[in-house]
Amino acid sequence: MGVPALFRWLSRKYPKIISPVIEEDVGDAEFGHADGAKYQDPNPNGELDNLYLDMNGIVHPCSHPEHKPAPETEDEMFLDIFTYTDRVLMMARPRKVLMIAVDGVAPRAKMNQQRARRFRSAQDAKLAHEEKQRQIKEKELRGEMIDNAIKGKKLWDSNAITPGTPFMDNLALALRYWVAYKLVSDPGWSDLQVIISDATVPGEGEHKLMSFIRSQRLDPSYNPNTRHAIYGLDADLIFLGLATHEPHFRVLREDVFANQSRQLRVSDHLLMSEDQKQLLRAQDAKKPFLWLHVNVLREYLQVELFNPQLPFKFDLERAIDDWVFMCFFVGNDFLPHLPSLDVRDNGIDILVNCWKRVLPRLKDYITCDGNLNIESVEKLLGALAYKEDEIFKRRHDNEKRKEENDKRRKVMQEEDKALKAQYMSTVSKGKEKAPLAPVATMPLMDTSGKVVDGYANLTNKDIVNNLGTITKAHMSNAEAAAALKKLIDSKKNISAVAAVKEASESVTESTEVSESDNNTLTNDTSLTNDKKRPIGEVQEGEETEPNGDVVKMWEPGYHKRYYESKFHVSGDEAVNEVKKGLVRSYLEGISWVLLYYYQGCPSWQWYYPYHYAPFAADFVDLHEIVGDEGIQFKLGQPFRPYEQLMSVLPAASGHTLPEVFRELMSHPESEIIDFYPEDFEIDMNGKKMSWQGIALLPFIDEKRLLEAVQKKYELLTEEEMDRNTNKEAELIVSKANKNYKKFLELYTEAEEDSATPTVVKFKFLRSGLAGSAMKIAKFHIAGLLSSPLDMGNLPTLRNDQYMRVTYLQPAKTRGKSMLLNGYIPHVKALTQQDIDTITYSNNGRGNNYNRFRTPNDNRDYVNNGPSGTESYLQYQMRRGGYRAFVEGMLSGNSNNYNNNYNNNYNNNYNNNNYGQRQGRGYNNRNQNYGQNNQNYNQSHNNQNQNYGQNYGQNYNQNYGQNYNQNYGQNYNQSYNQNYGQNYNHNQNYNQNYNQNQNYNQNYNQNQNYNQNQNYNQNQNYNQNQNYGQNYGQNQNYGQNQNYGQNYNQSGHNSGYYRR
Amino acid sequence: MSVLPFSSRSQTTALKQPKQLFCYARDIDNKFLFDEEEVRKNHVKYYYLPDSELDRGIDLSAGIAKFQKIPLEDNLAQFDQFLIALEQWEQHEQKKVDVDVIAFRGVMRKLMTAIYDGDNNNEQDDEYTCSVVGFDGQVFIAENAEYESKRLQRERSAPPDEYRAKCEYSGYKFETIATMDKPWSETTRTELSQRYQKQVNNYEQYLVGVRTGIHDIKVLMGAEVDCVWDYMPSEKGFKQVLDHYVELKTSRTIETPKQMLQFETKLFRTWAQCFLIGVKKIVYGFRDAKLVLRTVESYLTEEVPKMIKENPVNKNPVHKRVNCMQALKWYGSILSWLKQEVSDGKSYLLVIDQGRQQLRLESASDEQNAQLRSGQLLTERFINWRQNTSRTQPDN
Repeated sequence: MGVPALFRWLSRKYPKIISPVIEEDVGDAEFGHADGAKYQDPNPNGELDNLYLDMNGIVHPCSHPEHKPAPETEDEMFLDIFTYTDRVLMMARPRKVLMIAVDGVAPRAKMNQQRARRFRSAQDAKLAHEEKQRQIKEKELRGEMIDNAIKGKKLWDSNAITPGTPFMDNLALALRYWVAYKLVSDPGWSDLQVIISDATVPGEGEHKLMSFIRSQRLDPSYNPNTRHAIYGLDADLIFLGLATHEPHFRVLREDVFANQSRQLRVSDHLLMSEDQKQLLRAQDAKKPFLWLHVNVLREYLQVELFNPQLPFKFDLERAIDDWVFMCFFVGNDFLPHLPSLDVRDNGIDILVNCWKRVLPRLKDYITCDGNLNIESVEKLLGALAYKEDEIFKRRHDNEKRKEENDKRRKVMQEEDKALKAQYMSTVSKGKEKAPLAPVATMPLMDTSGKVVDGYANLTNKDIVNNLGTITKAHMSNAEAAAALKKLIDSKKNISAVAAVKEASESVTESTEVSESDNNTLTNDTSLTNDKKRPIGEVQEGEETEPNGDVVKMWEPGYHKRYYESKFHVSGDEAVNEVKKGLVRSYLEGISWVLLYYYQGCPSWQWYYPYHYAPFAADFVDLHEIVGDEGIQFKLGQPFRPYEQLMSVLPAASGHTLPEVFRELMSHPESEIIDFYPEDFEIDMNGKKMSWQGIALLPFIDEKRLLEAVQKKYELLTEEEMDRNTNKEAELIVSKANKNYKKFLELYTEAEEDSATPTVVKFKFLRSGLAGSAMKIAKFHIAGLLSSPLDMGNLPTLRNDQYMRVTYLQPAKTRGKSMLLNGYIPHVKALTQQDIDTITYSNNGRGNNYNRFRTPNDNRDYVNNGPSGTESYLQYQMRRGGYRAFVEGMLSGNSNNYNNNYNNNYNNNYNNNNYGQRQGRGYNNRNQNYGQNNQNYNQSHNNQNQNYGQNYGQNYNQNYGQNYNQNYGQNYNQSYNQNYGQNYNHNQNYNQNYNQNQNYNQNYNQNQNYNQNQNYNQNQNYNQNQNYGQNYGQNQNYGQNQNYGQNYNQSGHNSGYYRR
Repeated sequence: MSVLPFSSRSQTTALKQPKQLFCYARDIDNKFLFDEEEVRKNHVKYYYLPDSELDRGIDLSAGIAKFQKIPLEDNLAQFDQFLIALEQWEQHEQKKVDVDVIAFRGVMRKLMTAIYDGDNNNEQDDEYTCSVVGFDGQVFIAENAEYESKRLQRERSAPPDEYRAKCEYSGYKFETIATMDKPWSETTRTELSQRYQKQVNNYEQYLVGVRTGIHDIKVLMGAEVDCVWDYMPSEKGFKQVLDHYVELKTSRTIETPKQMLQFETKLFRTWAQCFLIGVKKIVYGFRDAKLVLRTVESYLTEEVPKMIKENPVNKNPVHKRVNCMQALKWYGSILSWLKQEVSDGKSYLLVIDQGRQQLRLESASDEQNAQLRSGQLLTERFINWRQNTSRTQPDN
């Protein structure tokens, strides 16, 4: 899913989940961390037990960085990775477990996306290379000297970061060395247990981490208050953290929004001096990081998802599971998202609101430990279907509005520029715009003067002869522009002159502009601006421009158009068949994703066999479609590394595979050559950005591929065969580890039976890690480990200083979405104001939060995990208990006692009690959701908010400020005696028969603000005896019979009563 | 006859670290199982009651109609079964258990808290009596059959008190909803949610024999343990099994200072109960007048004395409050007194005399003595066992 989009949405909606990472100065590495912070020092960010690294989130930015110059050699890359990982570790300082997970062979469902990405990236690389060559030539013609080294350098193929390639092998060696080195040399690491799950272990990185966390929970001696942190760039990690139901969880990531330096372009790479490079590297090293606190997110979700009027019990863990399910629905890596749901468009909010409306009609939550209830899904999507039409229309309107605004702005700019271009064309404003030589290529500009990638193959003569057309194309002549654009986009080698002629002809031909078609272009500048009307299409008849939106979802009938154009079928029956197939596969898909997160991969072989998703309105009669037995999966087996490489890589990346396979990808006679098209279509599908388009690659037929590939196995060398096997994770510990002796026995004691390897089991209790260990054949205690890198001057290590074993997780059982016994909640981070913002900003009409409000992040928040270690903290303090009673007696006056009969959430054990003992306070913030609330509050600072069905009797004797808000169905008897300075704010919004007896006796010698707003049809006994200066406003709306004596004596009485 | 006044205290309170020796169980069919491994695997309960469950308003009187209650007669302390378990252990260990006193925890607790039980209305009518038998160099203490049958009669003839029955039921109900039969990782979601509808019974019991002691007197106590907090440790770690036990109790919610003081007395008794066998954790469920579970609080056994002593809201002067340390010293003095007074071959009746604030050790008649040694307290089986071993092993 679009990472920045989701992250931005989350951090705007729930601002306090973000806090900056506090980094201490680690001193200079060259001088050995002399005066800086050390690993064993207390962590200013709050202590952590476990850290999980999604290594791909480190390897990618280190090997092909966007904001700094690329490393030259593989060794440099690895050193970079080490430095970066070191930095991350110093921020987190896990004390018990560090797990490093590199993406292994992925399930088939993921491979399609990986394939699309890699094919795209190969295409982009090709273009970039061509662009680079062109720029070099140009610069040389100008007389600039380009270093030979740079000229010859080919951009590193990032597709090498796939399991099975030699690069991944080297990475594994490098990681293993580095971990051993740190364990031996850094005293802070002595108790750390490091698990490396490298590319040879099948499964995606983040899911290997997830499966690990789940397995640890099964150990009965597991600490339920373990503090976890996960590092990674993927937004999915947030959902992963929620899905583990480990409450003390955080996500560590770079702050991509802070001081974004621009992305380096090809020309930059060519011309940067060494100094500039150093500067960029240094800048990059200081990039700030962020914590995303999943525990605070859980607090927010507690408020957001709460519903007291369900036919079944409200369970926060189940509600969170449903929320995660909905977020997956809106965007995940395995399925295309529904056309009506888009993260950028508040898709999640829309779906959550549908959920809130639907839930009271259901018998249970939609998900249960990873299983979907199909009928509930049908109801949920039914609710969404109502909104689909509206969503599309609104989207279209927004887009149009934006376009209009853009147009208006650009018209101004373009007029200006056109003038300049005409009259100052010989003045060179920039090298690109003033060719010094008869250039064989002509750079094209769009209407605002920017250079457009790609070029038209026109000679100077051609340009001169067609100056008219071309100049017109540079201005806002839409048709010409479109024609030229069409030329450029179609990768056919038409004779340039003929093409231009054709274009200019068709320009004059098509004077008709058909309004209903809208060209959205791959470039992010709009060539299509016309002052008056939308752009017309310049074709003969068929509307299959790659970036044209034929479907037009804002107009009725889009269903049919969608299916007909995307799936190339016609007629209602065919469309229905396609629909059913699509819906069935989509349901399978969404079930698959859910099981993937909650129980582990349900099937290695399953994949979604279409490029598009159905509409929400298509999810009807699901029981028929799915059948009685429901959705079942066959587990199957993961692919082997080379099989995966063959499924995922384009022919251009064939160099990462053993030679024997390369011809399968490139030779025209190869039996599977149709899997590796050189060119493929990209369907923009109504989107604007090129990376949002869908690559229409053919789906791989597993059988054919495996057959072809497996035929070649006998030709592989032994080393190559070894790279092709899936292995297990490894555990590396230092000599000081509590389990060291046990592990040593694996190597020193003779094996009893060589057929069954010895397995050593160890429990969580001892060291904070549970599982079993086995011997590694190639690890010898007496041996040495030398650095696999040529650079860096890293020492050779002795194997007896650390220990390496094969690590197996505790046996899997079915996971349950519950909190564990002994869970101690954290100190609540949300204030009443935050809670109110969430409760009242969504009125079902979608998102109403202020987009321009600066997110007030939680700057000073330090996440310390559980609020204490005492086991009594497991239970909230509630009225009726012994401790609660004693505390209550202490915090009130000697004759008073706080009895807050609170049934529900938001009871804060450790809370701010102004003027009273911190930390052991009693909560005077009562939010009562639900039934039976009696609030006897005698003390300072009472905020009583009663939502829902409240049979509330609020007796408030307040010394201080009294703020009573009673919403919902309230049987409220509010009896307020206010002494002293009182800001008495009683708002009663009632919907039913309520006896609101508001006795307000205000004895004041001071200023008394009484705002009693009673919106109800009730009887109000208002005895307002106001002595002193009273600014009383008693507004009674509705039918109010006021019995009562309103004494307003003396002072200013500006009270007014309305009937 | 010998007398021990309530004011007597022992000098030292050097406590012995409690250690569990054996365990056995009573299953739902009122059968006793003595195979340790099987008991440990299948008859132990595990605690699980998350905080969020308390918001649903659990009714602790629900299902009382289906309550499988063991008939009162059958529920009299089954000392004979305890002796069987002890015998099995001794067989396995090939030696006589090295203690001075062998008793049921319930009895011992009553003796220990006697000094503060004065205001308690439990033993209003009668003076509590238990039987003491000296045999084989050890003091055996158990409930007195006559006294118990009289108490039973009293209870039967009393007018049926529905509320009281419900309260009693609520204790067992609380145990049922707060525990699971297998560790959490092996229990399914449906099993957990069905606990609220599960039939409650007070047949199932998990019982242990714990060796403890004070000063130089060693005691073997038989007791029922409610549940385990997280897991039963494996063989190697079995010495620390006592660290995992939890005592579950219910009580009325506290809303007035008076109720708070009443609770403290209860808490004191619970503390004594846990302390005697080394249970580390106490979990109290508070139910309101309608027997709805309102809140749960947990206490560590070791912090209870401090809590009671330092309760800042208690209006009573310190010397009038319940004092756990005093109770301990009193307990020490009981033990040394018993060891001193009881002689082999003789039987006694131990009476708690609240009126005169003393413990009375009265000699039992010969007839009673014979009865006690032939089934009422000591079983023939056990006597034979001991006599056989003492013949094969030299006395030490």
